[in-house]
Amino acid sequence: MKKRYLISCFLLLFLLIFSLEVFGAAPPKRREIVYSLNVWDGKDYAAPFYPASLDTIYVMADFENVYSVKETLVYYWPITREYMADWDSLNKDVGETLEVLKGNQVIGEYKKVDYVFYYPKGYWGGGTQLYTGEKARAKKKEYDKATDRYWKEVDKYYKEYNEYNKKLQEFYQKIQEGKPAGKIPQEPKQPKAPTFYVTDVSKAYVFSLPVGKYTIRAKDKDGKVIPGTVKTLIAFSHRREGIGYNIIPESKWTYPETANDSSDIIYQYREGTLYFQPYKEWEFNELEYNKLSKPQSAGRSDRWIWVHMDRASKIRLNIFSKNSLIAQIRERPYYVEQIPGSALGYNIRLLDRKEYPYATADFTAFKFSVPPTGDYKLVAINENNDIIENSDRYIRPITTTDARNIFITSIAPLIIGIIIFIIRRVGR
Amino acid sequence: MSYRWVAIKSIIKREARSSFFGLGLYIASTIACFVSAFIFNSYINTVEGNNIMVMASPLNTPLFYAVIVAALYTAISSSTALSREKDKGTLEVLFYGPVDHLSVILAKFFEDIISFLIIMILVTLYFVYTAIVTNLGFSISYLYAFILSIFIAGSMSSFGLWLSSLTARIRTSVLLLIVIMGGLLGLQFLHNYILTLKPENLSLSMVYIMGILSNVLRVIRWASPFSYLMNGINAVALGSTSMYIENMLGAFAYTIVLLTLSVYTLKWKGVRKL
Repeated sequence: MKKRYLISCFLLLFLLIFSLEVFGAAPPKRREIVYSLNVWDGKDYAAPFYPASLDTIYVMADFENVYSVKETLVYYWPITREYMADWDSLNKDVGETLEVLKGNQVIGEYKKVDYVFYYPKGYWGGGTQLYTGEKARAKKKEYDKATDRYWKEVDKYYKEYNEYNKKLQEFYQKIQEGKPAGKIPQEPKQPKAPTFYVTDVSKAYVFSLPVGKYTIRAKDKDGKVIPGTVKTLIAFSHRREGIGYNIIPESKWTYPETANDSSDIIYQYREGTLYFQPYKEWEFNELEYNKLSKPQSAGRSDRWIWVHMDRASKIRLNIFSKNSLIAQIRERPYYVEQIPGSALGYNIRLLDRKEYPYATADFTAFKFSVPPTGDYKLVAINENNDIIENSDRYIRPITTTDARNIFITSIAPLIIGIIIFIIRRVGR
Repeated sequence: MSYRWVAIKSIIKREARSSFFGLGLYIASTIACFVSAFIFNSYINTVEGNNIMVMASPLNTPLFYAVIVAALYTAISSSTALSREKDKGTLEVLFYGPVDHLSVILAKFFEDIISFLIIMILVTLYFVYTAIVTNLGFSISYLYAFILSIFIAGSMSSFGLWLSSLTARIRTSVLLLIVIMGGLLGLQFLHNYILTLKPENLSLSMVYIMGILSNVLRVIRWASPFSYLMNGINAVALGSTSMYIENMLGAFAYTIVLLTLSVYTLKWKGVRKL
C-alpha cells in the first residue's frame, strides 16, 4: 500500500515537473537597468542586450556603436537558457550622460544624439550604415520624401490605370462594332517603391573606441552614477585579415563548403570542377566575437574564428602545382541549366553576356577543374599583382575510392609481430 | 654511473626485450591501425558522397583514436607490471639486489614509454602509407600531436603504475583499471556528447544532468589522464599554443605526482605477495 502511494507521488511530481516545461509557465519578471546596443559585427549591426547579470560589454574597436541605457522587465527563458527583455511592457530611457573610463580616468563623456540606420538595399539587403546628428535627420527626410513621392505616384498610377481600363474597354467595343479603334491604349507604368530604407530618428549614445579595456557608466541629470550601469567594456579588433572561400562543387552546387583558414585542405573526389567564391575575412577571438552579438552565448578565449565580410573584388586566383603556375582564373558569371526532359540533373554553364545580355547569373565564381592526381595550391592576387596574405589553400584530389587496401594494411603490425615472434622461437 | 641508474637500465632492457618479442605490442598496434582505418574509410565515403571535403588536419582524428588505444595498452601494461611481479614473487627477489622502489617504478615507467613509442611508430608508418595511397597528406600538426601523445602516455603509465602499486594481484589491478578508466572515459564521452546537443532541444532533466556532469568533470579534470589526452587533442585541433603547452606541462606534472605517489604506495604496501 505504502509502495503504491510512493509510486503515485513520484508520478505526480514527474508530471508536475514536465508540465511546467511543456506548457511553458510564465516566467517571473523583474525590473532591471540594462544596456541595449547596436554594434557593428563586421557585416551588419547586431542588437544585443546586456541584463544586470552580465558585467562585460564587447564592441568592435574603431567602429561607431550605439549604446542605450534602459529600464525594462527581464525574465529568464529556460528553453534557450538566457535572459530576455520584455520591451513591450517597459522600455524607459535612463540617464543623461555616458562616461567611459580607462583605469580611473574619464576619457569620454557622451550625450545622446539623433541617429538612424540607413539600409541602401532595403531592410534585408545588408550594407547597413549608421548616420548621426544632422546627417541622420537629412537621411530620414530623404526617405520620407521618397516614400511620399512613391505614394503620390501610386495614387496617380491607380487613376491612370482606371483611365486605361476605360480606354481599353472602349477600344474593344469599337473593334466589336467594326468601327476604327485606332491604337491600342498603353498600360501605365507601375511606380517603383524606394529600394532603400531608413529607420525613425532615435536618440542614443554613439561613439567609437580604440582597442582596449574600459569601464562604462551612466549618470543621471544630477551627475550621479546610476546603480547597475557600471560595466566593463572591451573594444576588440581582428587578429589577421585574409581571403575565405565558399566552394561550390559542380555536382552539388546548392551545397557549398567553406575553407576559411590557410591550414584548410580542400579534398576533391578524383577529378572534378570546383567554383570558388572569395570573401574578405577577418579573424576574431571566438569568445569576443560570440559575445559581441550574443552576450549570453559561450565562446573560447583560446580559439580564433574567421568571419566572412564582403565579397572580394578586383582579384584573380592563381593555381600552382609544385611551385609552377598552371592556371590564372578570373571571376565569371554562371547559370544552372536543368537537363530537359523528365530526367533529373543540371549543367553549370558560363553566362555569355553577348548572347544573353539581359539574363541573370545564378552565381559568379572562379572555376577550377581539378586534375585527377597531384597537389595544387591556390592563391589570390590583388590588382597590384601581390599575393593576398592568408589567401592560400591546398587542393588535393582523393586518389582512391576503395578502402579495402587501407583495412588490409592495418593488420601489417600483427604480421610484423608474428614474424618477430617466430624468428625468436626458431632462434631459440 | 650510479647503481640506481644501472639497475634502471637493466630492468628497462629486460622488460623492453620481453615486450618487443611478445605479441601484445603488435596486437595493440593492429587495433590502433584498424580503428584508424574506419576513420579513413569515412573520409573516403564523405569525399565520394559530397565530392568535396574541407579539413585542416585529417590525420589528427585517426591519430586521436590510435593514441587512445596505445595509451590504454600502456595503462594496462603498467597496471599489471608491479602486481604481476608481486604475484610471482619476483619483485621481492629483485629487491635483494641493488634495486630500490624508485628504480623499479622508473624502469617500469620508461619501459612503458618505449612500448608506446614502438606502437606509435608502427601507427605512423601505417598513416604514411594511407596518406600516400589516398593523397590525404601530412601536416605539421601531426608532429605536434605525436609529441604531445608521449606526455599523455606518461600520465597514463604513471596512473597504471600507481594502481599496480596498490594491489598484489593481476586480476585486481586489471579490474580496478577497467572500472576506473571505463568510468572516467565514459564520463568524458558523455559530457562531450551532451555538449554537442543544442540547449533548446535539451529537456530540463538533461540540463540538470549536464550541470552535475560539468561539476564532476571539473574535479576529475586534474585526476583523469584522459582529460589530458582529450584537451591535448583539442589544443592541436584548435592550433592553440598556450593550451598545448598547458596540457603538456599538466601531463608532465601529473606524471611526476603519480610516480612519486607510486613510489610511496609501493613502500607502504611492500613488495611481498600478501
